[in-house]
Amino acid sequence: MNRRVLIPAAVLAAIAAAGVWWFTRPAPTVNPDPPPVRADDDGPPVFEDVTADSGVSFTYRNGEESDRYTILESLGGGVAVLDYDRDGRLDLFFTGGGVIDATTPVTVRGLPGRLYRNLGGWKFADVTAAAGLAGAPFYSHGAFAADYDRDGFTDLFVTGFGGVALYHNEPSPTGGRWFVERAAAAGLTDNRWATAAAWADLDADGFPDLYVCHYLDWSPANDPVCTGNGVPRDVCPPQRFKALPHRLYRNNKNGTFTDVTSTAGLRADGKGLGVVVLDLDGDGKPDVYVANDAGDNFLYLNRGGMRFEERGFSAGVAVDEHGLFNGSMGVDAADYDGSGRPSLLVANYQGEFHALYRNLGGGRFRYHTAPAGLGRLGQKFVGFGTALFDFDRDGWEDVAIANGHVLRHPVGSTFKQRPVLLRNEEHDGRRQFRELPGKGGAYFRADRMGRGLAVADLDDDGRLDLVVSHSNEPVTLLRNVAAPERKWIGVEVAARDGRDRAGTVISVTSDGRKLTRYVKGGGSYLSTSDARVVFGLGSADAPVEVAVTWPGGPTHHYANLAPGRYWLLTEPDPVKK
Amino acid sequence: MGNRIIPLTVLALLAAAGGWFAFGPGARRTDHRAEAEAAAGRRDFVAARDHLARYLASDSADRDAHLLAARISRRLDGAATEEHLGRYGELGGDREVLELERALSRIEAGDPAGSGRVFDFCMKHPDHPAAPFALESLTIGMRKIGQPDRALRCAKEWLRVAATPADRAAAHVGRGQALAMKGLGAEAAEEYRLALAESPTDVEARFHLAEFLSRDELVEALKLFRGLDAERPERPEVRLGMARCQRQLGDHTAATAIMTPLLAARPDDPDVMTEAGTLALDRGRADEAEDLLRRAVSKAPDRRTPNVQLLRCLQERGKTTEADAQRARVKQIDDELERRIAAMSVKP
Repeated sequence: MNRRVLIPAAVLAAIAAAGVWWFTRPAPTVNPDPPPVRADDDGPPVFEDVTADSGVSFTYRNGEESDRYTILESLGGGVAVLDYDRDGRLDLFFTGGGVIDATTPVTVRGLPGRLYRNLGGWKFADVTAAAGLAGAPFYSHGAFAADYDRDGFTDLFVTGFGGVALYHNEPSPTGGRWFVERAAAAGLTDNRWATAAAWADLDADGFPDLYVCHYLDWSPANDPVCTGNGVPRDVCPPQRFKALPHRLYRNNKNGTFTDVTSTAGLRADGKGLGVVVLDLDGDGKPDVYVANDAGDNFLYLNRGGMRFEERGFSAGVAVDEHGLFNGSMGVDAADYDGSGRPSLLVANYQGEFHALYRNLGGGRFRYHTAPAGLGRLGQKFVGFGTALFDFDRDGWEDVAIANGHVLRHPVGSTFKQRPVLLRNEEHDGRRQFRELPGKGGAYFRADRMGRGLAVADLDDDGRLDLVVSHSNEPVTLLRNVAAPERKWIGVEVAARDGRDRAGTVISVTSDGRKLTRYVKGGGSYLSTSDARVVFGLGSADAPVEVAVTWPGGPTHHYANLAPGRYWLLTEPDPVKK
Repeated sequence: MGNRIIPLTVLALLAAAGGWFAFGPGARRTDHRAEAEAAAGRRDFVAARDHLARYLASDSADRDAHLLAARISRRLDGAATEEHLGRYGELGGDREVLELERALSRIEAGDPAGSGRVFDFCMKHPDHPAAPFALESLTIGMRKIGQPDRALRCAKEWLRVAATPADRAAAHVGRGQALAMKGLGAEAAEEYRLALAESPTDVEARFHLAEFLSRDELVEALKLFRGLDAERPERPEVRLGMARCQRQLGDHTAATAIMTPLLAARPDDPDVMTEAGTLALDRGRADEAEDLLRRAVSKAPDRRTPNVQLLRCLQERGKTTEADAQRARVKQIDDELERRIAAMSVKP
């Protein structure tokens, strides 16, 4: 959420004042062309909004009704997709946000999140209270699921202003499962404003470690009044505040964590809002990429032993085409171009393009927004939830981005903004993203306050669905109805002895093309997506071979797998073997 | 505004200029002379220049025609301004008018000496016939010396006194350019749109609007550039704008089709080399890009864009040591730009 003025103004000034070409020639009589006609309502829907009949009815509240215009209200909330009760269906947890009371100084209270159990057939039941999640210890933002103690049940880490919560998944006294909050006991005691987080085994000991982004030093005691564009007050820009240091916690393998920030080589700056973990330089170790607001993005290359080297600038992923940092929020990574390497997609603030950093191999990237067709979106969006996923099962990773402004009175854009759905297509000899005719359905044609976004196959039909959290608007469940005739194969990986899977690389060769997918830590914005991967196979329906490269480990091949279903691929035990 | 005293009092100059405006031209009009004046009125300075050239070819002793030619030349590239002013003087032209014209040329070139007095006179005598073109020169001059707030103020007054739709459009464009200098792109674009409401074919307004839209609305910007290009295909800045749009839209084939002949025609133009280098970088031709961008930097060492693109190129090619040095160079340029912007914010 960057409100940079100086350098762009300088560039404009240089162009305007220097008079690169002084332009005073008159015009013959030709009128400017009329604005382009947009066929917004043409084209079949790709996603159907099925929220109304699903039993899911929940709204994240950011507290803006108090009209205190705090920067706290700008971030919004997320959604975690997890099978908390191991019934084989993916459940949904939404963070609740909070209330900002119009006292002096302001006071901030949390609102509870909501856990919905998936009953199948697109029906969900509210199980929040029974699952022990009815409390609201702080104003919440993100939800990040992982089995941190490798007991076979997925736990939940929740971030926010005023604290973090580590909800351990335990047997409920009344039967079933519930969550017990254990952050303090686990050593997660940094209560400064926390936003995005990522679980991943960074030191190859099998247990997921935890990277936590912290944002900035706003507080009720540090709550300046900022004027807006033509209005007496608006939300303050992040530049008015100091960055908070991020945290890296090593999993002690006993349910507790050790803060290793100071020895891991992390930078002290960065107003972090997004993080994704996967192997970005091809050395077999998961790396950490951090999307920062109003500052350079970070690329922490994993050097082993819980040591990292920040190489964002030299790798080409810290800034944009103009050498300027962006206001970055959401982030995801995928092999969008068939190179076998994961590229990075970053959702940015108004006045900037959403950035695609194409992975060239060897730890080098190229800012590739325009060649990838993303320049066509313009610079009016403020992007949050970000996903690279193959919604039409043609084998190419597509894009969804949830947008919505943070300013109440933006200039040159709108408060609510439409989300975008982009299809990966071949144009001009390379892969590019294009909006679909009709934008992909009614949901994508309306303006919204999009924030968290998760990708998940909620009905296990091989078509990846979407769940979106909005600020002060109900959450939305979008059922994928695209291209039902296309073939697919789904893969869930189970690493040996339940060790963490983030960093696993899975590939399928189909119709002579190698498709590569990644099991990631973090990703998107304040959310957790389905950990399974789906390969779109187009029209190919022959059995395929799946190659799984485990984090830091060997590659195993699983032959003759029939399409049209999910496969659980387990890592062979080398000792038993 | 500047406070140096110019040799002749501005008041006297402007008064004399007013007299010239009231009684000077028009006594010996021919068709080409009349056409030239009409074209100047609608700010079609190229047509005005051409008509005057034809007129003066047969009547080179018309001193007022030379003065008009000088004024038109000032609005174009200024190449013939002094020649016509010299002729005007030789033919017995009013010395004070001559000095005023030279003073305005200096102001437009970025010398603010006397600009404060000119501005004060225009405020006191907004109906004076010299006020519009004096305020126009002030708007241009203040922008040139990096004072957008002052330029905005001058353009605001110019807008108040501008008599024709073409002049009002030009004043809006002047405001837009000043706003763009302040980084207020959306507000600048609004001024360009107001200019087009006054004069729908205004070339400057369309060009600057297209440049602004090339950030957000690439397709619309490309259409504007194409319209301008269809009218005068020889203009490199329009071709360059088209190529940028095509590149940003991801159409490398179309961008290359524009840039190849443009680069051949302007091999030493740093802006053309920079765009060609950036396009090569986007196309994955880093070696070609490096050559172009090095040449661009050598031609325009203090310009930010070629330096940044060269930095990107060096990073991509893994030339780490040189990239670090180039990064320091970009930082140096950024610091200088920030310093200049801070200077811009000085109150008038």
